[in-house]
Amino acid sequence: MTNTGNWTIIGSGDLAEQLTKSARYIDIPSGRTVSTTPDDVPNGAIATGAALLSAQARSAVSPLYGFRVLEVAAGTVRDGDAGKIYGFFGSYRLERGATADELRDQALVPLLAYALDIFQSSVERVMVRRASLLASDDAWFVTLRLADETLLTLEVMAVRPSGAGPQILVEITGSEQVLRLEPTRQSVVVERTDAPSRALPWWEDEAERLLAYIAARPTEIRSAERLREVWVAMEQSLESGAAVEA
Amino acid sequence: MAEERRRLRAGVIGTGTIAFSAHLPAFQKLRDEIELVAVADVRAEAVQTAAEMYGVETHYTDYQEMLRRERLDFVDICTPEFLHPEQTEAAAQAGVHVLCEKPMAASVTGADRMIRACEAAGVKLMIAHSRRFTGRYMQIRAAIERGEIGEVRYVRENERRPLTMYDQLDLAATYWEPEGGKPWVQMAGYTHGAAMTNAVHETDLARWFVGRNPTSVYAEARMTQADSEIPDMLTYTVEFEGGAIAAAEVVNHLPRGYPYFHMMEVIGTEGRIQAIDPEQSPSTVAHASGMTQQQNFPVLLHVDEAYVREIRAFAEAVRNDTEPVLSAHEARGAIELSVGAVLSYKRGEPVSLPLPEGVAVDD
Repeated sequence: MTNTGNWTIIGSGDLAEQLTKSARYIDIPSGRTVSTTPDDVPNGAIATGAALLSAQARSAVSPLYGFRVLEVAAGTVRDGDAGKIYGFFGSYRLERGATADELRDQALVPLLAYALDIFQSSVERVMVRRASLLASDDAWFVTLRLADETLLTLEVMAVRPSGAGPQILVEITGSEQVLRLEPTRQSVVVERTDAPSRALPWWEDEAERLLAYIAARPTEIRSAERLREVWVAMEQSLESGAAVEA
Repeated sequence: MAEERRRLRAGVIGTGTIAFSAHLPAFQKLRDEIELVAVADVRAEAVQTAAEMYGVETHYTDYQEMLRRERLDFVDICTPEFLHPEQTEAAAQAGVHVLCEKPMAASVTGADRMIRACEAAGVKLMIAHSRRFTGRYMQIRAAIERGEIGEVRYVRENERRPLTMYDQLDLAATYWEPEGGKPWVQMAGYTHGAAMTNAVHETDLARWFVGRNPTSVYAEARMTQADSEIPDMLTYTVEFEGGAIAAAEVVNHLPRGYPYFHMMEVIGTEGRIQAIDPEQSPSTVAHASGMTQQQNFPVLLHVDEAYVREIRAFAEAVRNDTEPVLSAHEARGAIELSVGAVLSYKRGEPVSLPLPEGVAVDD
């Protein structure tokens, strides 16, 4: 646990470390606790990272809100500017070799939390398929049908080359707008005569952005409970191999 | 001096959207090799317009009459999929080879009827899966065959179309309106919607790139337009023998101004192939209100060339009495996968493949 100004950051992983570093730049008038570990989420804390599914968490924030474009897109949808939403396609890729737990905690749950945070209609049906594409259990494919008919398609997989970093793509199709968001796309490309070209990412400091988002977000939003309910249905689907009415 | 090649005699059945946008212009480019001698459509005005625009000598409102009167080498069927089996059977019985627009049929049973009829009559049958002849997808397949990405483990293509896709082409005739006021592509009695009209491209490409048989499919679908009777949006995931996965999200009625969009990705054990339309537009224009990339489908997919290649490939098979490069059994596989997707979203559960013999979409 680290205290920086009015911030208390719980956890010891990469995300906690990044949030702690960034906390000094984000002022907040009163104390706010952010937990990044699932086992220890105190009352009133906002869960993020692996803590999103903690049984104690009341308010959960997807770490994807660390990317400004995804925060703006969520606002565009909530404000109705994109019109009637037809579908949400979310893809989150990690580097090859990521473990099944890393894939779940760092990619699938944040993507799911982000999607559920945007779309408040209840989840009607869930189908989950896990696959072994390049290694054991290195991919998840999730389809959710909402009561308002919005179709959510999520795919996460550990297929990126070593050193390439993560890759995130969100596409939201609506009657008035279609949003295509690639927050990890910004890079400089190095071309060499003696080796394949490389893309070096330089995207924004998502930890700082995430704290700014958390600071502005009302704490009474009870987003964690819904996330857990959907997750339970997803686990049932995975276990049974069938679609589950949620 | 080389022997002059005989021009093949061809007829087109159906002069609607796909004929005017793709097949008829392709025949015009192939006129030195193929003589388009007749066109047929139940709509007298549409078929007359087609004949006049493309310099076709004869036109019919009864395709059976065309088959009886003209000495055709092959016929190109460009009608709605539910008509393909009976029209293919009629052509086969007349001893005419059959090139047929995708989707092959509305059911696996219909596809089987087409294959049986052509095999029994000893005529060739090829389904016009234009993407097999589109440069982008040919390049992907070639890279896979060269082993550049190892074993294919994942294929995704998201395909999205705007409301105005065909409006922008200013076609002389578009969709048939069998009951007046509504095009057949939006009517439940005439098609199963996105799973057939365009996702059959994705189901075919997935099978082509993975090179194995699918074992199950799960799909969800919805209607985006209030006046539509059939789903125009589909998302599906397919599992193949050996554990490879293919997936697609297909939407047909996005806002006006949205491009004809494809995002294709193939991941293998040794690498990845990617092709995304917005990043591949050859034309970007900056103006006062922003930047515009030209993204209509003739520019991005060069479909005109694809249809020329496709028709020429079939004509060569007819001329040389060789097997068409795309077997009808392959196309049947794409239909089975699309039908499986329809069954899945109707039942709300995954569907195992191959489908039981005789299964219908309404089962």
